[in-house]
Amino acid sequence: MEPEIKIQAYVDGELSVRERSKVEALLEKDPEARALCDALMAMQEVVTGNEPVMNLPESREFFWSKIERELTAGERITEAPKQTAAPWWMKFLVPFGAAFCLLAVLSVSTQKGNTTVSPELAVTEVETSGGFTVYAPEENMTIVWVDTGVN
Amino acid sequence: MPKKKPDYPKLEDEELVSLSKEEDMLAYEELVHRHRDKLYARAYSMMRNEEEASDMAQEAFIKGWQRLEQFHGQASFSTWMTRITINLCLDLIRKKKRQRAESVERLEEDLGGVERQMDFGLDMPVPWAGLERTELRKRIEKALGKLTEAHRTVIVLHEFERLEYKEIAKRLRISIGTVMSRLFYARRRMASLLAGLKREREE
Repeated sequence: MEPEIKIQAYVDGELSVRERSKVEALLEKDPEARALCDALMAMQEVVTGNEPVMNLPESREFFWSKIERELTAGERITEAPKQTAAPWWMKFLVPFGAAFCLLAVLSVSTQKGNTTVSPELAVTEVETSGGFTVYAPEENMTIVWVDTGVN
Repeated sequence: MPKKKPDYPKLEDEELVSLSKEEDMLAYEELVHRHRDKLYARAYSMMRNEEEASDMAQEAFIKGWQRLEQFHGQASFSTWMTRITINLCLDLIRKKKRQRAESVERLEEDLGGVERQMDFGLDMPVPWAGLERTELRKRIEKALGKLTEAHRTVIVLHEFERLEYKEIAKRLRISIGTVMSRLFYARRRMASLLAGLKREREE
């Protein structure tokens, strides 16, 4: 940080205690830095306490009329509902749930692949000339492999 | 027995806010009347345009009414409304900036930057010494008008709104370093403008 910016931060009360002492040491030995600090302080004081005062160049009625129109037409925003903190285990729910579902799907598909040994699927296999058909009544699905003879 | 109509001008802001929360528009009108000049002045400091400043103040009061349920009196009604006004002004400034093909302020800063010297431009006795407050305020107002938009905005947020660097950075969506350099540059310029205005007057 440039020294002049640091001096400004000192004037604005934005420095840590340690940095403040460093700047104070600089101000003691460097008259230019001291002058800048004084000028910044004077500037801050004069501007902060003297914000321009202005009067709205519109009558009370005229200024209010537009606001009133909008207020009558519009709706109010009610307070946003406060969010209650979720219990700690909630964050694990989604990943564990997803993993469980995946395992379940894998387990079912493994069982489906093993059609000849699974009694509940009751798969019927029919060999036809140049093809192979599998019917699964539980799934109401028929799969036909056709041997086209092309290698 | 019908409820007696309150004497609005005699009520405190807090009471008017409570009545306004109960949809009493006359109470809100009183609040608008009380604070409109301050909001207008703040908006004018940022926008430098009477019409825009008036629009911003009106818009702020509309937003204030709509969000009154969110106001719990942590700050004064005036402070709360001023913050709304500032946010609206910043939004408009951003919008206008997007519309401009090139930001003159950015260009100026890139070329100039912070001058690496301790001279703050006050090579004479404090130029505002001995001035009447009204005259001083006029000069400050005039000097603000000569600052670039970017520098004026940091001056308003820091010196008038008393926001810390990090808060200004957040609102302007710039780094704290940029806030610091803009503020320094803006103060230097203000100092030289105030000195210039004094010279102009003396000649």
